[in-house]
Amino acid sequence: MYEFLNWLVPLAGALLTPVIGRRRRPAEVLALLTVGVSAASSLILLLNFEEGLSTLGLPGLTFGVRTDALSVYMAVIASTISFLIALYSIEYMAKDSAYTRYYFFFQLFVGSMVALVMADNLLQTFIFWEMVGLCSYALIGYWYRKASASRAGLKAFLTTRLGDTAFLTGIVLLYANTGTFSYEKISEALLENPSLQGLFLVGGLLIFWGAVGKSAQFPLHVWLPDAMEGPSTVSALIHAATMVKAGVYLAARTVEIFHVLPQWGLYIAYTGAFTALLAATMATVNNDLKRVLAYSTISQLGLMFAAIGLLIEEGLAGGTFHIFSHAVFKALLFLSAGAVLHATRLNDLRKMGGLRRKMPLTFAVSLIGILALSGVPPLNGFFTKELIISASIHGNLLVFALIAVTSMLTVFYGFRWLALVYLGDARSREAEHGHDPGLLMKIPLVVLAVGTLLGGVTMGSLSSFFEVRLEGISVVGLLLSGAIIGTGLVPAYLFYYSRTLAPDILTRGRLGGSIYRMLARGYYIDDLYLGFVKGFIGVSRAAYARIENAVIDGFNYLLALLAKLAGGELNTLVEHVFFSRGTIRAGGRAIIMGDGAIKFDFGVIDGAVNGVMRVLLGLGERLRRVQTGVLEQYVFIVSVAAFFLMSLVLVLSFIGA
Amino acid sequence: MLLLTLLLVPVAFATSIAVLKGFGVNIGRKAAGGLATVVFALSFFQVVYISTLMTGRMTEFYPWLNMLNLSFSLILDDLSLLFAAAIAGFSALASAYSIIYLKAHKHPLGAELYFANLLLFEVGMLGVVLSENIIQFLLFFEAMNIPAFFLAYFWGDKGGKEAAMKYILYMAVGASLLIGGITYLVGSTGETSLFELPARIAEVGLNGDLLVAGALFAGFAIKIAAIPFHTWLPDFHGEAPTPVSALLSAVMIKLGAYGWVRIVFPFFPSVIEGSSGFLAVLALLTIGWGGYMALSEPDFKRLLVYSSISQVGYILFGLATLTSIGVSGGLLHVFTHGSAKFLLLLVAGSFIYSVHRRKISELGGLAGKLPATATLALVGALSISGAPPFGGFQSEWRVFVGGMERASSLALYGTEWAFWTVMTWIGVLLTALTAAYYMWTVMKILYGKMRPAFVDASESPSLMLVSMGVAGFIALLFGFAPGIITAYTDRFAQLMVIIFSG
Repeated sequence: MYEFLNWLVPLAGALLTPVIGRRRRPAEVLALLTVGVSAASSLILLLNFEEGLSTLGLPGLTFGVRTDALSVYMAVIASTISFLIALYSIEYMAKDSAYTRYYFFFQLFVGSMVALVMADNLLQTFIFWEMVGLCSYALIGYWYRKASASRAGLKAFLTTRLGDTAFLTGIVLLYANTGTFSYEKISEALLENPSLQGLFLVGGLLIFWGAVGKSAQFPLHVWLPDAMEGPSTVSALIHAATMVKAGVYLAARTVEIFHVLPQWGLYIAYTGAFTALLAATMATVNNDLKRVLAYSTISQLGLMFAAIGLLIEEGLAGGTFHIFSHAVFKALLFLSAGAVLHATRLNDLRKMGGLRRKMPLTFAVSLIGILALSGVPPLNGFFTKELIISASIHGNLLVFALIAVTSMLTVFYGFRWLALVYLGDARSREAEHGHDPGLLMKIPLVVLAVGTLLGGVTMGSLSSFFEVRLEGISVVGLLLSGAIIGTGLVPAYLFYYSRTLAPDILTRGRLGGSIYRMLARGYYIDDLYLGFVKGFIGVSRAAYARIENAVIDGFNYLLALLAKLAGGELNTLVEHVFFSRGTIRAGGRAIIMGDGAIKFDFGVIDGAVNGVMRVLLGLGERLRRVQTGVLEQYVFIVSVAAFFLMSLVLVLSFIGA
Repeated sequence: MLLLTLLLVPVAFATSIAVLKGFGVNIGRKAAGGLATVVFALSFFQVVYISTLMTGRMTEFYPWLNMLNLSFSLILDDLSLLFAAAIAGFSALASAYSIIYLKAHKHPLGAELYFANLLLFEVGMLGVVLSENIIQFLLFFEAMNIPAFFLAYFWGDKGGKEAAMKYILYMAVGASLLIGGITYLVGSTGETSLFELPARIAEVGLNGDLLVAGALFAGFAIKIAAIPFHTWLPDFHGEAPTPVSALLSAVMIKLGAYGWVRIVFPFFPSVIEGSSGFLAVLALLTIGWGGYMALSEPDFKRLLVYSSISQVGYILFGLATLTSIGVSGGLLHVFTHGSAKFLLLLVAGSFIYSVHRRKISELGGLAGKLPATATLALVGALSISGAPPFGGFQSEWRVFVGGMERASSLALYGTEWAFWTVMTWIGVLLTALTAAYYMWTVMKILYGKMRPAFVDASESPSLMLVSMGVAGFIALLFGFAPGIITAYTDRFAQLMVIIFSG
């Protein structure tokens, strides 16, 4: 029963919200209650764990639910973190008037995410996957009157949608060849029929592309930084509890099917490791409070993919466990950022500073979050990152190298962020108004901070829950971690803490400057895409004016023009044309005489067409004449045109046969 | 009598309204509209009622042209049942919506004649799907153009007259192709029943006749506005009164698809099988070109029409796969797209009604002023973009599974296998284009700063909201319970596919 309650209750709550959520308090209580029920039932599932499949049959509709270690684990993460965020939302969104919409999509988001991970088949996963995308669209663009917010929502929706088209193609491909959507049965089908391996590789990569979009991996990572336009609670929801974790879940889930295909794993590992490095470099120069964290999420997700793609037990465990660590400390960081934003209304790191004294609690929990992000023992991030690094050493040295560099950069940008926000003196008037948040916002912060501090304790029970055997942490691993942290920490300390070096020392030179600009612009990837989109729309506009309206639509009118000429009504026509537009006569003659090939100007055709249209179907008396006189000719000519097209059809179908 | 009354009752009411009008009795917009709405709603429930009685198919024969040995024969089977229900149901919603809409779109002829034409239009469409013989089918197929022409000509927007002319000319061309093909078939087989014809055509050896098949296919393609026969559609639907446009997009053009599956596919199986690759290409061209043009269309109402052109491609693609799930999905798409597009056109009508604008660049920030209409706009846009949990997704994935199943029935990694796999993938990819132009448009119309001119704009009147709300509910319902439709389309598709698998 609990395997249905944990996702159906929030979904039902979403449906109820417009009904009973007309006033603020009931809407808040309802959201807390349903997400709380979801968290509670997920935890009950975890504690009384039993593997199994169950179905819920409604008329014309069946839901299949799978309870296994991965699904229960993901459900617990999604629902409990969401519960804390819901609690935090009550104070954070207290002044916002559209709370009905907010809590509607909030619950829909949580319910869909839990349903996504509990689904026992690909199609159901995809349905809730898309609903998660829809909720993120609505919540990122929550402040829809702000143009940048609605644009960010659109960007998120369309970028992830692009990945989803690949995902759906992959699902459909596998279904057509195995006759089932079920994860278990598909993997059995592959084992029974090894000749399908090539097909499965294609299908597996297509499905992984869905994860690339959802989890913002290269080259579809561009939407996540912009998604910061939503409220901070939504950012926390997207980055920690739902949405982006869905991609990692999908990769981990489909390992069950594709683990026999090493190329599949390799592609995932390289994508993840490369993205991790790419995003980490971008995070080092960004000056936006939340965008730094967004790049950090992309980077951390990359690490998870890199580990899962190694297709070894240690890597799988590392990638999967890191979902948990990251969810806790990243929710903590985003909610701290939300507290800063709530108090100062500032986004720009350059205008902050000095908040340590004004917001001591927020500073303390942020510090814990950054330490965990950097992988400092004994915080939760240390254990899982250690697993990932050790797996990559055993799995693939190139991946290891990329991960190691990423981890150094992570320490650097983490402490840079911390220093710019909290240390030094206030760099603007707003920053002087900082203050710690109220009780409802403090509780989630403290709970998450405690979770970050003590998360390492759960590692043992996690590995027994997943039935993996892990070696203890070796001295070599510890030394390696120490070296990585030290390499990242030293420059951060020199630049932003002791200030022995000015941060712009590296960007002053020409080379340094251009590297800086490149990183700040995200390697120009966004600009490249924007250029492509603009070109795509530009060509569409041109095609609309010059082909659709001039050639295809004009074709008939042009033929009518010729019919008119042939029909001996040249004089009338010339008269009308002469009065309507001077150039038409020249253009029309050029076309008719056949010498217009060079001067084949669509503008002229367009003019001619419009002119003729005005003549043929003009107003008043002319219309009556058209209705009786030219009609048959017109019909005849259009029939001739249709005949030509039909002949084309025939010729082509002969070629096809 | 159950089927005949479906046709006779609206005709009787239309005639009475016109006769009264002739004697100078004006019953008024509300009375005429209410009457028409009730008639349509009763027809809808009658169809639903018949469906509960029906086992297999239901037929009725009445003496008609004895000289030609032709009776007036009506039929209701799985396929025509769905179409009939959609025609009656959407007509009821469009008619209710029109009662308010016509307040702002007056014509000297009076609203009564508008509703009389609407009644006749519904009869024309119903007649098409209820016809058992091909001559009668053709008559209704052409007759429905006449009320459609008048509706756009008199009650349409500024360009209505010109667009109506263009429409009637295109339809005349389509008709000439259909008449040519059908008379040739009837002449050579001496058979008129749609259900006897396939066997007779095979007997006389015409089932591989490319020319006749091509003529009929193209005749219906003009109605459904497949590329490159599509340019009448944006003009006509764009200028017709909005509730009529909604009806045109939701059901009328889909009768072209009905013609394909009822006539072209079963009559000429070998031709269709041989050219299914070509049909798939045509389908994707239609999807791609329609969507690509929608991206640049500056007028909201016309954009929706380009989207209709594009979406029709999915129907054709599903049919072209010749697999039972693909055909069933293609037919399901008729209804999932129909409900969503119907909704969106009514939304466009509401914007015209409330702020008197249809240019996308002149709209903006409407979500704050018309929240319910805006929500419904989003529902329609998401459904057509194929986003769960709305209906559009249910039909689209079936269509794509059809494409992949077609591929998997062929030699693995062969040329044809690659062709169908790639075609399907392009088809899925094009759903992103649909999402792009819809969500972009939604953003420009609904979000951002509200224009100062809309300060006094108010939410659509409640009768309009109810019509839109019902359409939106249907779009959502199909997402959760596609079985309402697939119970029928699956059965029909399995029967149809048998012809092709030999």
